[in-house]
Amino acid sequence: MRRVLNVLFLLCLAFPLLAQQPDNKRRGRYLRTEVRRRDATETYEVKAVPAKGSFPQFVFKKILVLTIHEVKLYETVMETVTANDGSGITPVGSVNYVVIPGEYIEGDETQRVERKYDGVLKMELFTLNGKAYTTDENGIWTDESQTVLAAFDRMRTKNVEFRFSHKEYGEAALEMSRNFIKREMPVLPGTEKAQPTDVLEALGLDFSQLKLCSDEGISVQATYNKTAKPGEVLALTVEVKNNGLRSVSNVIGRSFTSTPGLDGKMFYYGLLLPGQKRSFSRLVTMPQRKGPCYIRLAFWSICGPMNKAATDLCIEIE
Amino acid sequence: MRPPIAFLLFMGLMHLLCLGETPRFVALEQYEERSKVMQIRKMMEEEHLLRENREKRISRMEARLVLIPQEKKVEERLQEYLKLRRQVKQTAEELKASNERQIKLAGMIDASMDSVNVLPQVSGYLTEARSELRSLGISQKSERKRLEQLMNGIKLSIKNIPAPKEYTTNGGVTMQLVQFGDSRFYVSKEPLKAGDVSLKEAAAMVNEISREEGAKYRLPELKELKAMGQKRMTIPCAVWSISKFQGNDIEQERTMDRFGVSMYMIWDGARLLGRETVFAELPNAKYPELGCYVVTDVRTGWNKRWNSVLVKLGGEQEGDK
Repeated sequence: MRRVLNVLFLLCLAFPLLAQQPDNKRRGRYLRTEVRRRDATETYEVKAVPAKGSFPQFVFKKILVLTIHEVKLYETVMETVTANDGSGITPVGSVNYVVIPGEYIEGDETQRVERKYDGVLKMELFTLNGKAYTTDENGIWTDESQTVLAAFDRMRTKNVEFRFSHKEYGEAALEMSRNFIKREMPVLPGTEKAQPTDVLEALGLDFSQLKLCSDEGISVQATYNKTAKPGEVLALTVEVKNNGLRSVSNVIGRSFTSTPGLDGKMFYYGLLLPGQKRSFSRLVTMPQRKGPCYIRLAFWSICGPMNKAATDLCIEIE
Repeated sequence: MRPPIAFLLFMGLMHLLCLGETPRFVALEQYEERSKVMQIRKMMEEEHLLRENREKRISRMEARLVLIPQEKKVEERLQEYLKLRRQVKQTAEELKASNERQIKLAGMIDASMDSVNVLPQVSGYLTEARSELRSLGISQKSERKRLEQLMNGIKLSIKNIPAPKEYTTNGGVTMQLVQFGDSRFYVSKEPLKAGDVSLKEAAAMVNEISREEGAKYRLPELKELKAMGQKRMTIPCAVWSISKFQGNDIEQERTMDRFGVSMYMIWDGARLLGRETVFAELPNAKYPELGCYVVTDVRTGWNKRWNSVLVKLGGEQEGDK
């Protein structure tokens, strides 16, 4: 009896080992990819569009983002090992694979994202820096308040990221740059990030690096209301004409005044060929106090300050 | 045949001339020597007399220098110092002339002593005169030193006289002295213009005063205006300064530099323009409440008083000595 129990005990121990048969199924050739799920979300992107004048324009494009969940299917093959029975010349035997029909092995699930333009955001309300704006019927927003230009009024500012917000589609970022001297940016291998859009290029201005300078024959004509009310927003249009015989490059202007709302407004002109004139307008907010506001419009080209072009203005706040 | 006497005399004279010798007339030489010695004697007596007078005068001037500070009025004191200064200068000139005369005298004595026909008693006198001359020279050295000390004392005393508290320019602008810490300057008592004046116009007005006065007048610096404010001086308007606005930060400074724009500081202690006490403005700005003052260095007032005293004394105008 005792011997029988010992044998049974040993059998119990050996059973799991005996039950573990070797898995002879293997992954065979790739057959196809199967789409398991498609998740669609809607978002939008903002891009600057070329706009001549003093008011940058941006197009709001609706984008359908498809996230496709995919699985690759492979055929299943049975592995058969034939042992050497002593005949023939094969000393160790051979391995054979046989495809099992109708049986597949799946690979890992992968995700693929597809972005598809789905028209433009027409007449949609969005916010930028806490202020609400609306696109037009073509999905274009014209920055009539010059919010984007105002962000570049500090001379040292070169890059600004604007974050637009839409109540349905969420946030979209747009990085813009401002270069007084345009330089070709080198494309470094491995850099996937797109170069920011230059605001001056978007306004159709040529700020190429050209050493052309002469402030001889430069005339400045400022158009503005000589009187204003406290807090009123006025347009100050400054036309610069090159009456000289030489081109002037990289021309910019700036307002200098002791009145905070009027100070530091940048005016962009770029390359001015002989006989060429260009206007640029900025919106200025009058102070709350009454009395005269003195403004000096000073200009700079690639060769330094254009002292002869400097113009003094005075707006009376009544 | 015998040669004529005139011919012999002529030949004899030619012979003497050829030998380089001159005919000597001893009596004549002694006479001349005596008159030279007499001249030396007379000059020596004069030099003695002059020295005595000069020493007395120097002593009087030294005594006067001590007494001048007792004068109550600054102008009178200054006048006295100027008179004394002139006397010292005059005495110094006399001393110089005396010195030149004595050098000449020494030459005369030496020449007389070298003379062949000097009588022993004359030679003794000349030796004595040479010795006296030496002692005269020594006393002149001491006189010169006393005069230098006197001049330094006068200069120091003049320097220590304080600048006038106020004065009026030829154009009628009253300038008052402001002392703040170590700095002292004159500022116009009233604004040159109390409003509606640009910096350029203000600068032109100040330049006109400079031209009229022949001294440097300018618009005030911001620190001077602040000093006026801290002195609680009545300033009825905002005031232009010639201090350039350097920008609130380095970026602003560079931007102004890049565009070639200058702004100037304005002091508005009473905030009449409704802004900060100190702010920058473009030079062409004009406000009804924005005026200008004129300032000048403390030496301008001092020199003006000095020159007026000189004019009173009948001398030429001169700067601060």
